[in-house]
Amino acid sequence: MKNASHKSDPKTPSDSNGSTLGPDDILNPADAPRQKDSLGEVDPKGAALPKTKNQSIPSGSDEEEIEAEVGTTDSGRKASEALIALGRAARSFLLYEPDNQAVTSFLQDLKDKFYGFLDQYGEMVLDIRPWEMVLGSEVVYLNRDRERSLSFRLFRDGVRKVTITPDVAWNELTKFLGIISIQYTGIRQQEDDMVVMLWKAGFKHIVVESVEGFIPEDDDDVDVDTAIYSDGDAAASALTLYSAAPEGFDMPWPVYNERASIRYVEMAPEHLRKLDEEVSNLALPDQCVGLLKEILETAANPVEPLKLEEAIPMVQEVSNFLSAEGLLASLLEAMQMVQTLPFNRSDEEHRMELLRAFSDVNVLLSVIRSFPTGLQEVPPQLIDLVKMAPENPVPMLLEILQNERTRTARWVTRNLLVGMGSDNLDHLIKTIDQSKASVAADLLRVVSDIDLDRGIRVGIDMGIEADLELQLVMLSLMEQGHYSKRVGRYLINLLESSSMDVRMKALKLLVHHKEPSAFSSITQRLEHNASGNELDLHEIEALGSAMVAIKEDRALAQFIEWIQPRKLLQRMLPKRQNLKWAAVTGLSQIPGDQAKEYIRLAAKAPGEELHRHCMKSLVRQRRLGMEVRDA
Amino acid sequence: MPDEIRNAQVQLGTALSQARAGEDREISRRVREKGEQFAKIFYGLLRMTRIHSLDNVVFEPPIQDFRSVLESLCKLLGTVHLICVEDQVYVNDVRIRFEIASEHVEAIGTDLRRHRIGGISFHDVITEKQILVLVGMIMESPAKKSPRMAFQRKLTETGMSSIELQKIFSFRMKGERIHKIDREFKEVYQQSARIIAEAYRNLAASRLPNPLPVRRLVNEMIDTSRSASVADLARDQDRQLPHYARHTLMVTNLSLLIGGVAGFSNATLSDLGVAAMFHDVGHSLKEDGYWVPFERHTTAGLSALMRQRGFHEAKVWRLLAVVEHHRPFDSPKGRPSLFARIIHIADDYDILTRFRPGKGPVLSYPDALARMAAHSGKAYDPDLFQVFVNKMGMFPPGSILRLDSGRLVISVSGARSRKTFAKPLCQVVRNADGSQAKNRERVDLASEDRVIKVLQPSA
Repeated sequence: MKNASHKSDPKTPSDSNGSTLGPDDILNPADAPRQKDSLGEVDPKGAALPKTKNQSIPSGSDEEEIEAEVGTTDSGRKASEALIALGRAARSFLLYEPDNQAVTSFLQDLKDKFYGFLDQYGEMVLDIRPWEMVLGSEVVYLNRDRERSLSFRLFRDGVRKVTITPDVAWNELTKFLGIISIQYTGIRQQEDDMVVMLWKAGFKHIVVESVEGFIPEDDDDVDVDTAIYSDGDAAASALTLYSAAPEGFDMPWPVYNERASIRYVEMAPEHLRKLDEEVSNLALPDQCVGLLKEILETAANPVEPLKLEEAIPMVQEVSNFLSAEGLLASLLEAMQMVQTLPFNRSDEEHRMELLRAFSDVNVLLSVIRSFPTGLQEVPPQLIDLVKMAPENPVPMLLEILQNERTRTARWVTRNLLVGMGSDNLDHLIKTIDQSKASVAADLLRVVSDIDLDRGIRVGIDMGIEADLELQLVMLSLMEQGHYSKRVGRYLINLLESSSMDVRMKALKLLVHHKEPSAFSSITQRLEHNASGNELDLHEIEALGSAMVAIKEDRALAQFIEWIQPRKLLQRMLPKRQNLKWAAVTGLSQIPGDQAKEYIRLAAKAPGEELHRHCMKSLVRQRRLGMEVRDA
Repeated sequence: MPDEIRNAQVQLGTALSQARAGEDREISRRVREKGEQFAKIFYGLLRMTRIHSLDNVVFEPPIQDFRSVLESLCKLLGTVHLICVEDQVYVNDVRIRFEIASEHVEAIGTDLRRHRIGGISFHDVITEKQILVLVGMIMESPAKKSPRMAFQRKLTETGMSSIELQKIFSFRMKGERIHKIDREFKEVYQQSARIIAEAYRNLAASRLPNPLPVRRLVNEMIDTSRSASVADLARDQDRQLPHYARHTLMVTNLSLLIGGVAGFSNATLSDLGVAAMFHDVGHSLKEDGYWVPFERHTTAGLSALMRQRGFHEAKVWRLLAVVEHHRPFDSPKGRPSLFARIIHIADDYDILTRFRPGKGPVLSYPDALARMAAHSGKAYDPDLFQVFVNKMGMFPPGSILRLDSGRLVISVSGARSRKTFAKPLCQVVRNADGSQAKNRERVDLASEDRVIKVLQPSA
């Protein structure tokens, strides 16, 4: 029967339950596009969420998915606010990661609104209808979108009444929220529905009354497949159906000839606790491995009709679970079982498929994502897992490196690639060219970890235009690697880098290796930036010092020229403060009276800062002279 | 940020990631995408039958597409449910949106409702020819009598028993019976036979098992059992039920009894109960037309139940229970899982004590317990067995006893306490003079009389 009041469905932005926008796309409320969705409460100005208890959530759009604020009495309105807060909090898990600030705010709002109602009005008794909830005789929740409606979700699974008492604990409310949220995100929950989950929760202060979900209408059609079991009368067929098992299905009976005495023995609580622990989450991984063992051994047993192919989906599910939990040891154990069990030769292809399933990119990604930040060592089991992959894991690792850019993921993947050894070096080098800059930097690190000099050569070949991160990587490699003219040329080119950090590091290396060909480049750099602010004073000083370190006598001559140019034209050129500054710095590192004289000369040039710099430099130079004398 | 908000976030995050462990957003997206294609192609096929005859080649491309989409969905979901509820169309849990809201929905729903069908569940992929047949059947006139049943029979005759037809669904609250936890245990017990039959029927017809209705039933059993006596739980409620159903229910009840005494939570009890309900499904299956032999019924059950898609810890426990429930406690293959150990005790106890027409039970209740006790630590988990013994007492419910006074009684309680372990509450069957006892007279052995002999029930 048509629901006459139901509007046509609007085009809405997506979420993981139907829309094109996935929750993975949004990690920060500031990034969240302004949706016309049921979370249309987002403030267009960006302050999306209430900061204080009393601040109302900005009203959303007029789209039908948003719960209407209903309630005619004060208590009704308050109940309405609380339920809207509940709906929003539940749906927030579709859009945000659980630890997102947005979720925090929604939870706070939920808490405030719910306890606000309960403290004032006592228990909340809600009748659940397809798209509304009723408190007493008042509608306090209304959302006609049966997909997003909290009411419909509850109603569809059979919930008909929910009573929340005033002394409900916060953890009960959050558990309730969790159950509703799972239903919002779940797509294959065949084990539990809302009623079952609410029952399992065993709430003390939330009472749920229910029926059996979708209500099948009664009809005369006996729901029995008579053709399978017999022809004839439906009732007789039903009985036949009910006895669908062979006679003596429970045979052979256990044969026990001995008896033992029966007596009452008090059970120690720790014994019972141990039993309970066997079905806890902690025990689940071992049980999963045990199950896989049963399944795989059955498939390997020639007497059993179960084929390995039929086992694949189940094995994949379990491996996905183990990888998502980062349970490497269990994954490895399962993989070893697949590798070693004596399957039929015709199952070889399926065996390979399973081995791939245990070590495919999704599994590796899940495992890597489960690692904490600050991981110090790649778990050896992960290395073993990767090595057991039936095919070359390098392409998978490269894929992860391209797409998973967290620090931990990059570090782990790099280490794994290094572990693959030199066999894959050429492939890695080829990939560098095709990669984005930051990925290329990672790959360069990997190549260098395998073969440092080769990595340096590859980096040099990439050229000075390479990304800043690449330049920094190259510098760190060059600190460790062998020095050569080629390296020197590369470092000289880096003096033109747009990053001061890069320039300084390059300069430091050139100084360390006393690269003579760097002298003129340094000089030119200073002369091209004779005045102005393009060069930081710190850099100017470093350049000046570098000239001295590389070629002292040549530097002295150059400094003298800068302080007192011989050519008249040059004397007339605008002040070349930077050159004087560099010169004074350099002169302070050259002992002797000549250097001192020119520092004093520079001090006479206009400029208080330069004057101060000269004075300091004189002190330094004098000290140096004393040290030289003492030496 | 207040601690309790932060804690709530952490807990919710963990709960959600655990719940999502069996799926991911990518799968959700694919299911939605494929589900929409599935419903729309189906609608298109139904419309085409109004214009073209079934042998027209124009059906070939959409049928190929439909089969391909069905195959993808079966791979993802196991069973694909196309359900029409009032003006909504669902593929599994996903509501299908149509560009023009009402028209398409009406067409699918109307066509199915003529046959009193509310939905179609595809438990397996069918051939292109079968798809064409199915579509043709929907467009035919419905049978005058029991149209849905007739349709289902016809599906089976044409080799499509993996297609299950659902009743018409409704959201309306038409005289619904609200779940009340003070329902009589007996009432729940009797209703449960239908649920079991449904579940086993589906398995036998190569349909995928759906544990959810079984779970709801088990939860009701757990609720009602809190007020029921051990006797109610431990004795057959309805001897009209076939052995198979009675055995399944008995094993479930006894397993829940053990789990309850062991102090399991509701959630654990629920999972245990569902596992017990399915423990012997292997017996309902056939290989090459023959019943699966006893020695393979566990692995046959495992194979059947394994086809359910979606990771869930309850499924793991259940599968282990099914495959291990005959394995001894001290098996060289390793200790069986907890649920398997519990079900093993319940299973053997029922097998040894169940009344068989013309034969009687194999053993009396006390005798069965004593013989099983001799294998505690070997066949049976000693802790679990002791829990069971502590609850059942020396003379478990149903034990036929001769008292010192000459009266013949039946035990109607388990051990009510340590002191009454061997002194149950009994119902008098015959007086000392041999006459039939009247008015359901009770005798409490804690305060009077004593047992001098345990009698073996006769056929």
